[in-house]
Amino acid sequence: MSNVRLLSSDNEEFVVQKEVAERSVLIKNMLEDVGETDSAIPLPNVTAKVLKKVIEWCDHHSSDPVTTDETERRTTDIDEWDQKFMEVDQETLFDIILAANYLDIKPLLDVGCKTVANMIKGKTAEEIRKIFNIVNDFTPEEEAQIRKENEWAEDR
Amino acid sequence: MTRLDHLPSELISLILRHVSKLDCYRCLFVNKSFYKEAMPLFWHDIYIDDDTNFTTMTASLAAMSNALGKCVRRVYIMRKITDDELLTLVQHVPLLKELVIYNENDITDASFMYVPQHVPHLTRLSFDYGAISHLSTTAMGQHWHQLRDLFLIVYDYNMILPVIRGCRALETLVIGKEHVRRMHDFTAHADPVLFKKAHTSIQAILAMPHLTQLSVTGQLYDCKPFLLTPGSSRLTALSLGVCKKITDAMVLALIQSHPSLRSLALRGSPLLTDATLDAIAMHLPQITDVAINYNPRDDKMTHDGLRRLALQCPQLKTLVLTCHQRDVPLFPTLDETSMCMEFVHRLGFHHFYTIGVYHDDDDDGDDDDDHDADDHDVDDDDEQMILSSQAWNPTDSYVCDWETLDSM
Repeated sequence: MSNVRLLSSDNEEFVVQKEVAERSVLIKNMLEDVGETDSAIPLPNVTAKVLKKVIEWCDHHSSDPVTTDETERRTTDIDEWDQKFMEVDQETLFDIILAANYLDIKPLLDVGCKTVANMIKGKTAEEIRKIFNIVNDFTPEEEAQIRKENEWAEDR
Repeated sequence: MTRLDHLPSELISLILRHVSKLDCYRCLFVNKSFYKEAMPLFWHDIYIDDDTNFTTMTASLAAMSNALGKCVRRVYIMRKITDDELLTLVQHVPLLKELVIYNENDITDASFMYVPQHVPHLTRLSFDYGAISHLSTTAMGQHWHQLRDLFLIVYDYNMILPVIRGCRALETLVIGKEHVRRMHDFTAHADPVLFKKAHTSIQAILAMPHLTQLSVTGQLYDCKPFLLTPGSSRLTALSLGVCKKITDAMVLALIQSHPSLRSLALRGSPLLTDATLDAIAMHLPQITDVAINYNPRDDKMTHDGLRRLALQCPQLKTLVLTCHQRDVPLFPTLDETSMCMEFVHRLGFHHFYTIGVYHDDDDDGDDDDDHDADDHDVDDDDEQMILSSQAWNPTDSYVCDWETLDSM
């Protein structure tokens, strides 16, 4: 089993098994392009802290079958291990999502998105703003306009 | 510090795909970037039922040259709707992909023949009830070149011909659904002209380049029109309506003519025996779904036959047995329970497996689609009593008439 070296944006090097690293489609494609290489793959968009988490996830899921089934991916259940894995502060959560997107690890991106979706579920707009520290940039007129164009469905 | 509203918009959109429509509605009001991502998702599917204010909805759809209407991809009409309403609606949803019309409605050619030109990108139509004619199906054939799935009641096979000629991308075709009584006996050999027409239409349907799933309900005299020369069939699913005279020999010919079948439904055919089950097992070992007429009062189909089918078709996951006579206990001996268990055991606990049993006292064999088995009422207590003694995982689709079992 050959290893691959990955270099985080803050210059920390990680040595991981090739099949673990290849959970990332980006890395998989890079390895296919360059062939056998001894030099570390630079990942300028991912810090060591986040890369460590991502590798932990890839390692745990290294033997998962690759699923392309949309319906399977659409369910909102998250398995227990992933739930625990995602119990992190918001900043780390969003960084993991960004890294999964950049590294093209769809199942991890899904788990991240579902985790955020679960935080949104059942909340009012005001509660959502509060949880995620978002500023309301609507004027009262704009808000009234949105209410008007969607009023046919408001009672659902 | 990374915050939610710093994520790129496509990621916000990905997140919102996992929340409900109501959550999506609330997200419209969070801030402008949320609005931008939530709006197309919120308007992606429209459900029109008795609570829908049609006028305010269409006014919103139409505002700013259909800005919201262009987000709509699916429309489900769950209540009575008039020609005028349908026409108003389709004019504002130019990028519609799926249109599903349930329920009784007043839709006629007066609106429907203009629907295809307003929503030319449609890929799926389900239209259970309506009084349209070949005028509408002609328009469908002219405009719906991307149509992949069609569920339509037809009153005669002439009506379907323009669709066969024009909608060449069709993959799934279900015709005659729900309204068996209103269909003519197309293949009745008593009328050679009608029979020839039906034969020609069905052969033309089977020759469509992408068709893989076909369901024809209504009265069928026999299955001759469905036979093809070997090697020319692409069908993976076939469901036939009431075909009272179909025999084991005809089924064998049918199966040999469609060797790729994974799903076969012959619910209205009371003459079939174990020979049919054995033919399925021998020629279609990859089959996953079987629906068949079953009457324990006669000896045509036996437990052994069903067992052999289950054993020889390792991928079989759904077996629906239909009995057209009420008050006939489907499981006259407790042996059926052990049969169920044996199926489950032999097929492995990890298999998703259904034995759907429901009575159907409708003697014309009013056909049901596969989902009807799911709708069947199952007494929760009984179900749990049985299932808790099993080491396997019931799924939503697990259906069995436990009440019948219990009363034995």
